[in-house]
Amino acid sequence: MTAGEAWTDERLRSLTATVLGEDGWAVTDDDGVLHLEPAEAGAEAPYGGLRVLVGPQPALVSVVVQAPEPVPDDRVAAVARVLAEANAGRLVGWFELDPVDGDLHVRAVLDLDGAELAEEQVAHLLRVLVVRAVDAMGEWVERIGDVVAGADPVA
Amino acid sequence: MSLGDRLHAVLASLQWLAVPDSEVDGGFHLRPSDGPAPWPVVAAVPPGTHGVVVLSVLPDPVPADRRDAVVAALGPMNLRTPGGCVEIDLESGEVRARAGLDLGVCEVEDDQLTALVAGLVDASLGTMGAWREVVEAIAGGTDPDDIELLRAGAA
Repeated sequence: MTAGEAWTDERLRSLTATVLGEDGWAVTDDDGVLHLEPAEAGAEAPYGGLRVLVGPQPALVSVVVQAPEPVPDDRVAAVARVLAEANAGRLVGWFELDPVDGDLHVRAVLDLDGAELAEEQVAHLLRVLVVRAVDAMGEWVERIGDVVAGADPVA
Repeated sequence: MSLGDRLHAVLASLQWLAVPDSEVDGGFHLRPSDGPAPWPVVAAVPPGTHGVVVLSVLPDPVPADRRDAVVAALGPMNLRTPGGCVEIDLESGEVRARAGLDLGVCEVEDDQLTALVAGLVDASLGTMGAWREVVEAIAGGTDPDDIELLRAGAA
């Protein structure tokens, strides 16, 4: 693809798999969701796992970094307060906590709809997106763990 | 030309009047060229970044005694929002719908930047439009558990 062409979801998914594969990720396509594992033997996926989705809007890429563990029901409110602090003022990405099952992850998105970027540009933006999402989890995972374990979220 | 200067030009091409915002370093206060904005909208190149963030700001801050209730609703709201997030400043009670882009070292042409910024503006406005009434209801005393849109399984 060259500059001047719009990005379809399928080509975006294909480029994502190629670029992240070149960067040392083993990419598994599970019904359109790209699951990433370090290709190096013995290395572990960051935190609770990493995946990339394309959609539901056209040419919208989401990088999702899963927290190591779901949040127990009795700590959801406390963790939600920490996440409000974590989210405010970020440039890209945000934490999402599902109060029903305690699922916690960072999601960072890139909306390429209508943007006629070249492959090299999209590849760079995808790499930045992955780094920002992983870094966000790394920045807050210890504090979140402390609050899950009972620490005061306001402290 | 700096990214901030280019952002100003891009916003003008998208029919937004952009006035430097004295409260936001590197930011512009936006309003459509043909009338008032539905709520305050700010676009900025945050200092120290090579990225753009667009914020739709709820006109009235959330009272201190209702901020925890809004925090409890942010998870369900953001899980249902594909391209942006709702965040709250716990100190001021300001609620914002945020969409951001980190370009890293990627260079983009003006037409490409225009398309990317247009996506951010749409995401921020769309997110605030989707959730404004819900946030205002909670800020006004409604229990988040009584809001149908926030219940598990709601679209």
